[in-house]
Amino acid sequence: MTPGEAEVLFETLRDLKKSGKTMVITTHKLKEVMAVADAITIMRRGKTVVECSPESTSAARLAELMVGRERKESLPLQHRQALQPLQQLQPLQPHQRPQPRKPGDIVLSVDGMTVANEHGGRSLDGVSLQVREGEIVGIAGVAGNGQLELAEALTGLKEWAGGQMLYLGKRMERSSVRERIREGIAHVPENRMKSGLAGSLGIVDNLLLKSYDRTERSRFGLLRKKNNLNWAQELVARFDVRAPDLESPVGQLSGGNQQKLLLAREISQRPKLMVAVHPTQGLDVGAAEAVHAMLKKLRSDSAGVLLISEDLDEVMSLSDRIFVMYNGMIVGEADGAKPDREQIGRMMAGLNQSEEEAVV
Amino acid sequence: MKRESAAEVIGKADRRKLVRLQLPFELHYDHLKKGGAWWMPLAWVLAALAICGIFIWLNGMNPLTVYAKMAQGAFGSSFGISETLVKSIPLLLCGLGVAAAYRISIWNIGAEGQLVAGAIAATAVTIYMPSLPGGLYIPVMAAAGIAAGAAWGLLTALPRAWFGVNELITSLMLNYVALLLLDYFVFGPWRDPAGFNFPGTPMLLPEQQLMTFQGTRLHYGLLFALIAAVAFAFFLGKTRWGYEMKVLGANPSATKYGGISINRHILIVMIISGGLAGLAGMSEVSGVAHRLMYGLSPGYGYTAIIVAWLAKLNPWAMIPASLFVGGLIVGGYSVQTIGLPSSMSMMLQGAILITLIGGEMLGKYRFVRR
Repeated sequence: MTPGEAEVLFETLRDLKKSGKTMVITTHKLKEVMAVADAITIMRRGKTVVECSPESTSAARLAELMVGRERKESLPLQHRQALQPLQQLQPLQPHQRPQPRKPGDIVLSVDGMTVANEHGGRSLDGVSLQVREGEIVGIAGVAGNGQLELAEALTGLKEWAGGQMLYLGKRMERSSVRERIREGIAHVPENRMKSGLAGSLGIVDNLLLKSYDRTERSRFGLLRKKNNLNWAQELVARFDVRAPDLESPVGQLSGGNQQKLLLAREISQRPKLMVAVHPTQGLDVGAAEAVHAMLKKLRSDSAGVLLISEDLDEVMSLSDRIFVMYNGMIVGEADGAKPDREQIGRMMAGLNQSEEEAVV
Repeated sequence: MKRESAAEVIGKADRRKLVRLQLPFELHYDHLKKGGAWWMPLAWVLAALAICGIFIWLNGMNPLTVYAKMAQGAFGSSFGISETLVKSIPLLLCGLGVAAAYRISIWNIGAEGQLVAGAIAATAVTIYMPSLPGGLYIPVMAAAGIAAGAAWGLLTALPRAWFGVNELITSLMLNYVALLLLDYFVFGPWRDPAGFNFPGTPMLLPEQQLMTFQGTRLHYGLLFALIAAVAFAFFLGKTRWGYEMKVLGANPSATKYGGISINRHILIVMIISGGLAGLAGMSEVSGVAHRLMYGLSPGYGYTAIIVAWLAKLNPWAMIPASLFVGGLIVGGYSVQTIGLPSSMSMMLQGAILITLIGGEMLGKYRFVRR
C-alpha cells in the first residue's frame, strides 16, 4: 500500500474500533503497530515472545524482541520461559568461527541500485554494497524492507530502475537471468517450492534447471540422458539428499531434502556469487546445519556469499560483515565478528539513537 | 458488501467440507498427484458411454445394440476402417497441435480456425500458381498450409505474449474470422463458375491431390500425421526444448527463475499448434474434399481437443485416441440406419470430454482412511 492508502486503512480501523469492533493486525511494520495498536503481541518461531502495550514500549525495543534478545533479565519474569528456545541459538563463539580469510578480490560491487515498486515508489533506493571472494555478507532486516527485491535484482528477476552492478569486473545490471546463471551467480530463492523447484518433476529434472543447456548435460540440443542420470546420482549422494528414487516428485520430499537438493544444484554450478534468501526457513535443526555447512564451504572455496535472512541469529552466526536494510536502503553496517545485537535491532526498526526518544 | 464476502468465505469452507461427509475415508486434494493411472481415461470413456446409454434407453432402444452398431460401422469393414482413418488424420494433427499448447497451459481452442487458414492457403497455391511443375504442388501446398496455420496461431500468440491478452478468447474468435473468410472465398471470387452455384472452388487437378491408398479414400496425409506424432514425442522427450516445456508445464515461476523465456515458448507452441492444424487443413483440401468448399471441416479443430485430453496430452496415446474419436464420428453416421440421429456421436463426444475433465480433477484426490 502507498502511505496514503495505509492512512485511509488506519482511519477505517479506528472508526471500526469506535463502533465496538475488535481487530487483529499481523504486520512486520513496527511503526504501523505503534501507530494503531492498543495491545501488542510479538511472535517469533511460532511462539509468543512478549505481550505489551504501545505506551510501555518503543519501536526499537519491539525490533529487539522480534529478532531475539540475549539479555533476558530485562524482560518481565513471565516471558523468560518463552525465550528459552532462543537461548540455544546464540551466535557462534569466536573460537568456533571459521578463521577469517584474507579479504579476496571483489566479486560483486553494487552502486546505487534502485528498483521501482508497483505504486510508483521504490522498493530499493540507492543500495550500494560489495561482496568479496571468500566472505559471507549478511543482510539483516525486518521482512519486507527490500531484501527480496535485492536478491531478485541481483539475479536478474527484477528490473533495475537505476544503479549499476559490477560482477567480476563486468557490468551486469541489464543482463538476463540466463546470462547471470552462466556467469556463475547462484540463487537460493526465498520459497523453494514456489520458484526454486518444480514440485511435480523428479530429482534429475530439478537438478538440470540451471545447467541443462551446457555441453556436459546436452549436446546438439539433445539431452544426454544417461550422463545426466549418473551426474544426478552423484550429486544426490554427495549432498546427502534422501529420496526414494530419482523419479519421484520432489514435492513429496521433506523440506530439508528439498533444500539440500536445491543447494546441490546451485553449488554444482561452482558459483562465484551465491545469493541465499532465508536458506534455512522451515528446516529442522539437522537440515539447517547442513545448509549452513554448505554456505561455509562455498566461503572457504572463495565464492562470495550474500546471505539474506530475517533470522538475525543466522545472519550473526555466519556473516563476516552485516548490512542492515530498512525501507529499501542499507542503514548500517556491522562487523560480523563482534556484532552489537541491540544496535542492529534499532537499525532494523529504522531508528538511530537520536530518533529513538522522539518516536516513544 | 461485507455480508457477501462473509458468505463467500463460508461457501469456500462448505465446498471443502463437501467431500468430507461421514464416510470411513476422507478425500484429500493433492495438486502434485498425477491424474491417475494410464487406464483412467478408458474408465471415463466407459462412464460416458453409460451416461449416454441412459438417454438411448429412454428413447426406447437398447444402448448395447446401438454401440455395437456404431463399432460395426466404424471398424467392422474395410470401408469403415478407411473412413475412420480418414477422420482420424485431421484429429491427430490438430490434437498434437493443441496438446503442445495445453502442456504449458496455453488454452488454444483455435485449431478449427488454424485448420481453415491452412486449407485456404493450400487452395490459394492451386489458384494463383497454376503453372507449377506437377511434383511441386504437394510440398508447396503443405508448406503454405503450415505457414498459414502458424500465422493464424501467431495472431493469438503475439497479443498473449506481449499484452497478456487471453488466448481462449482470441483463438476462439479467430475461428469465426477464418470460417467467414472461407465463406467469402467459396461464395465469392473462388467459386467454381461451372459448379451450379455450389459454394466451392473448382476440383483440384490430380497432381494437386494427395495420393490415396488403393481403392479407398484414405490418403497419404496419414503419413503426415504419424510422422508428426513421432516427431512430437521425440522432441518432447529428448531435447532441450522438451525439457523447457516440461519445467514450464510443471512450474512457470521455476521457469522464470531458471532464466527460460516463457514468451518464447508461447510463440513456439502456437506456431507448432497452428502449423499442424494448417497441415490438417491442407490435407483435407488435397486429400479428401479435393477442393475448398463450404463446411470443409465438421469441427475437427474442436473435436481434436477431446483427442488431446483423452490421450492425456501424450503424443503416442494420441494415435489410438484419434482412431477412437474418428470411429465415433463414422459410427455416428451408421446409427442413422436404425433411426437415431448422427448427432449421437456429438453427444458421446461431449459426454466423454465432461467425464475426462471431471475425472482429471477427481484423480487428484486421495482416499485416506479415517
